[in-house]
Amino acid sequence: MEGHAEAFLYSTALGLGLIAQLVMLLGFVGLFYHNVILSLSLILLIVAAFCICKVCLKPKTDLKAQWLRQPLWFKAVIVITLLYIIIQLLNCMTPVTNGDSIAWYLSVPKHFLENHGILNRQLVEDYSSSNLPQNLYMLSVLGMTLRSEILSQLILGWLMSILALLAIYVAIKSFTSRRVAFLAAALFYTMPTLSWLIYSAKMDLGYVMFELCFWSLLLKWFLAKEDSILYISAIFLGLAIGSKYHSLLALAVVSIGIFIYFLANRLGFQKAFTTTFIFGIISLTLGSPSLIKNLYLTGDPFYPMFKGGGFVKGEGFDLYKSVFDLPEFIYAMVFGKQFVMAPLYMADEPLGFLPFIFFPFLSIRELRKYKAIITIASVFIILIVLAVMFSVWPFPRHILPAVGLLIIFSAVGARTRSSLSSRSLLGFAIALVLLYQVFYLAIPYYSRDKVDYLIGKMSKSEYLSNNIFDKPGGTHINSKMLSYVASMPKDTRILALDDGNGYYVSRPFLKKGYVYDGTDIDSFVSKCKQDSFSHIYFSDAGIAKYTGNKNMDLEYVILAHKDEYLEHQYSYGDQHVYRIRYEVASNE
Amino acid sequence: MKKASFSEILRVIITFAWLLYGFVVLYSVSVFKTMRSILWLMGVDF
Repeated sequence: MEGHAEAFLYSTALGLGLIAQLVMLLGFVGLFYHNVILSLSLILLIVAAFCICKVCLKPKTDLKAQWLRQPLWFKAVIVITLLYIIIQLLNCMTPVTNGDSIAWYLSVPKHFLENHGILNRQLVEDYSSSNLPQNLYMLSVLGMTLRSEILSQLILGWLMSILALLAIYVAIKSFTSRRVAFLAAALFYTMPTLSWLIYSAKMDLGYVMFELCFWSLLLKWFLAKEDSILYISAIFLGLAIGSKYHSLLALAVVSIGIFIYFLANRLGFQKAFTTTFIFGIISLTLGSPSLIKNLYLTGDPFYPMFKGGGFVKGEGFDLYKSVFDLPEFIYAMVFGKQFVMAPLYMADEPLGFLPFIFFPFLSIRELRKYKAIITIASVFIILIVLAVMFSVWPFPRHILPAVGLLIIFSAVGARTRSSLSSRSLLGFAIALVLLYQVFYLAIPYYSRDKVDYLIGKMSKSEYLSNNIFDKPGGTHINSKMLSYVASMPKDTRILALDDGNGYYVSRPFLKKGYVYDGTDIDSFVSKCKQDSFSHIYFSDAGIAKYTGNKNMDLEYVILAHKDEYLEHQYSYGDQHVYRIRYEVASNE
Repeated sequence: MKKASFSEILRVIITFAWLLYGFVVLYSVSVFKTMRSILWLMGVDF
C-alpha cells in the first residue's frame, strides 16, 4: 500500500465485504440470532484490533505543513467538504425516514431476522427485492442486531459514502496531484444525487463503493502491470456483484477488454486466457453466494432481474425510447430538468454540473497514455448509460459508477496546473459554488426535531411520529393506525394500496404490482387470496398521490368495488383498514 | 511567470460559462428559497 488513504480504503472495504459474506453464511444455516451475530462481531473485532496493532498509524507526512502549503480556495474546499461530511453524519444518526429504505431495504433484513435466516420462500413471494444481491442486506442485518436500523443507515449511507469518496481520491492520486484528486472526490461526494442516498439505508452507495474500489485497483494494475493487483481488484468486483446486479456488466466488459488488451500486447493466448479466467472466477466466486441463494429458492440465479420492472413500470418514468434521446437523457441526469429549465418528473436528484468541471481542461495527449484502460472504461460507461436510459428507472443513482469513472478520467486527463494554481480565480469560483451547493443540500435536512433527538431531548418514537407517522400531508401509516395494526391477530397480512412502508409496521404490510391491475375484480381478489392477504389498507392522501398524478394512468379496481368486497375495520384520520370479504367472491 | 496561452484562457472561460449555466439552470429558482432558509435559520421569519 502506498499510503494511509489506500490502506484505510481497501482494508475497510474488504473487511465490510468479508463481514457481509460471513453474516450471509449464518443466514444460510439459519443462525440469525442476536447472540450468534454478536459473537461473530466480537471475534471479528478482536481479529481487527490485533491486525491494527501491527500497523503503524503514525502519519508519514506533516499534515500541518501540508495544510499551510495549500491555497486559500483549496482550504475552503476542504473545510466545506468536511462540514458536509459532519452534517451528513448527524443526519444519519437520526432515525431512518427514507421511503425506499423503510419500504424495502430495511423491511427485508427485518424479516430475515424474524425468520432467523435468509432462506424463506414466503419472503420470495412477499418481496421480490429480498432476492437482490445480499451483501448490503447482510450489513443491514449486522447494524440492526448490534444496535438498530440507525446503525444500518450509518453503515450503508454514511460510511459507504466516505469510502466511495476515498476510492475516487485514491484512483486519481496515482496519476496526478493530491489537490486535483481531493477536489474531484469532493465534487463527487457533494453531488445532489448523493445527498439523499447518504441519508438513507439504500443499496446504491455500497455497490458504488465496491465498484469504484475495483476500478481504482484496475487503474493501479494498469500502471504496475502486476497480476496480483488485477486479482485483488477482482475481489472487489465480486463484492460489488454481490451487492447489485449492475456490476455484472463491469465484469463482462472488463474481462473481454483485458483479454483483448493482453492479446494486443502480444501476450500468449494461454497466458491471456488464464489471467482473464482467474480474474473472472475470483469475481464470480465472491459474488456467487447471492446467486446460489436465488438458484436454490427460485431456480433463477439472477432473480428478479429479468422478471419485469416492479411498480415503477407504468408510473411514468420510462421516457427514453431511442438512442437519439441520449442528449435529452444526459441533460436530465445532470440538471434534473428538460432542456432548458422545464420541470422533469424524476424520482431522484440530479448529478449537478460541478463533477464535470474538468472536461474543458482535457488533454488528448495526456489521455493517450492510458488509451487501453480508457477504451475499456468508455465501453463500460456507454453500455451502462444506455442500459439505464432504456430501463424503467432512468435515474442518476443508477449510473453512479459511470459518473465516478468520468470524474476519475477527466481529472486524470486534465491539465489544470496553472488554471487551479494558488491564486486561481476559477478555484475561488468552484469553492463558492460548492459552498452554495452544500448549503442548498443541507438546509432541507435541518429541523429542530433533529437537534432535539441528537441531544437526547426527544425520544425516537416522538421523532418518528413528528417526522413520518403523523407528519401533516404525509402518507406513512400513522401512530394510531400502527397501534391498531399491532393489536390485530398475529396471522394478519395487509395489502397496502399506496406506499407499503412496512419497516415500522408490526404485521406484514406489503404493496403488490397487481393493485393497479385493470378492471377485473375477480382476478384481483383471487391474487389477494393466493398471497394470503387478510386486510387492505389505504390512505386518501396516498391514493390521491397515485391517481391524481398526470404522469401515471393508474386505477384501483378494488376501490370501485369497495362496498361489495371490503368490510370496514378501523379508520383514523384519512387512513383506513378493511377486511377482505373472500366469502363474497366464493358465493359468486 | 509564464504567460497563459490562448487555449488555456479559452478553457478557463468555458469552465466559467459552464459554472454559470449550471448554476442558473439548477439553482436559480432555489436561490430565493435558500436565502429565505438562511434567514429562517438566523431567526428571521416572514
